[in-house]
Amino acid sequence: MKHIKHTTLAATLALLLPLGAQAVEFGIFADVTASDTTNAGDNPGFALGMLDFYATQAISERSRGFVELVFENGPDGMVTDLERLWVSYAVDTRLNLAAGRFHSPLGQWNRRYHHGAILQDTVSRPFFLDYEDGSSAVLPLHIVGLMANGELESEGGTFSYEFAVANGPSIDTSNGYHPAAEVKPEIDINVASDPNRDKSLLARLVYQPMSLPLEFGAFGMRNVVADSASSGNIEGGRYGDPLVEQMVYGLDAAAELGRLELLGEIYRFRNKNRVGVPGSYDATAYYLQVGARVHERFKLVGRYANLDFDENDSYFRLLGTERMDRLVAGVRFDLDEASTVKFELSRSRPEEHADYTTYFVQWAFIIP
Amino acid sequence: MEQRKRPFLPIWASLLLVFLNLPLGVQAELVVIGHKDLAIDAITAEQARKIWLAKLHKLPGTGKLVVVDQATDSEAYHQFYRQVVKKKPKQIKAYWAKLAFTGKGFPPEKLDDENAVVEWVASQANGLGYVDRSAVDDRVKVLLSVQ
Repeated sequence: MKHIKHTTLAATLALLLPLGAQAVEFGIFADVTASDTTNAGDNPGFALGMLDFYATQAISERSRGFVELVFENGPDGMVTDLERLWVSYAVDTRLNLAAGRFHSPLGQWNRRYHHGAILQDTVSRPFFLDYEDGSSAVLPLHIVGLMANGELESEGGTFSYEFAVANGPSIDTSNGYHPAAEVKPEIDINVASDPNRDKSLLARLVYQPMSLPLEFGAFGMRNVVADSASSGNIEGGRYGDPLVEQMVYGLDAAAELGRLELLGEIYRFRNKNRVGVPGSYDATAYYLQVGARVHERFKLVGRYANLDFDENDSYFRLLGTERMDRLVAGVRFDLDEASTVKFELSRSRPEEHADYTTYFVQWAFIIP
Repeated sequence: MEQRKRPFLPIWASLLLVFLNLPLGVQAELVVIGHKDLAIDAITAEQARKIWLAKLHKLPGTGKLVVVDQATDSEAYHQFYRQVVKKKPKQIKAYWAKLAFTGKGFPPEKLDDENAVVEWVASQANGLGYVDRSAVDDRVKVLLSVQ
């Protein structure tokens, strides 16, 4: 992700704050998290989580603008990211057109929780839905481009759709296959230009039956992942060369059955190598989360997540991804409408490293 | 010597009762209104609560319902959210912040006064609002009395 210079950020915030006084919807999401792990080399400690500023307003009867800036901890200290910025025009409820930077229309989690820690029931995300600069990222969870979305009502329920065309993702290959943890490349979503002419195409369809508290989704994404290294490219390639032709498709579902809440997603990857071992390789990622609300403010949560892929798949080799599964158990206690305390224990089983356990305590809040 | 009769209620208790009754005494009759051609003639308070929280978008025979609020400093706004939506202003602000952030909904448009609400509902086939009963005219119909 491109890091915005602090001066730019300060100027943007200075613009946002006076808008707040003019009844723009403006809010701040933040959290403080303490963690400990049995992973060798990591120490227990406290961390400031993402400090997320957003502002949105109907700028005319049919148009709306949205801006979201996040401060977060990076390897070199606090960095800032422009996470979302879009402007939209609603033709009617069946068609809304938007341009800018969005969360990719993939699955439930990425469209439901975004960067606000208070919104999700667990401290951590499913590990394979890590953001593009995270250590276990495997998907471009943001896009820059155009999106059309809308709703179609029927007697039995509501269909909604999202279609998008966006800059294609790229990977800096200058560190080769299986890069060490400290040099792992992020998935670049290319906010200012595209390394080549191939664009990403994305679609998601969702159905919500009127009579049942359920939601079903199906989604797909086509990418040509490009090389964004300017020198030292893998296999003597050049900037913009295709690395992998990728199709990602999947299903998601969410249900509230009394006190029980279910959330699940499955992703299938078909990656055709343009570098590395020739061939097409399939991969699967999924999670299932179960929540039980034992009290109005108190919820127990459990989640299992898994990622599996072929060892010859260049996409995962270039990202330095490891096959892994993770079991998470957590408790969420809502202090009030605007703050939540969460406890979490997770057991990770990476294929090539020792298993480890992580403990989290998080206090997340919103200043609306 | 004539013994003075003790009042049935001590003076402080009578004053307290008067004080407690005051807000009810001056409270207007707030009603939820809809377009006169809306396919329904009544809604429950629970349905109104869900509609204003964007948890219920349609009722049998209607299209997608759209609602408006009155200004947040109006008595009608506070009465409606206290008695129907059952959330305090800070709670409702946090609630909408979460929905707006996730793109699942944005808070209702706020109109300046009751006449503006009646005008708006009269112009929206699936529009709902709340006003004092005295502001209702024949372009809209009453779906729920809040008191």
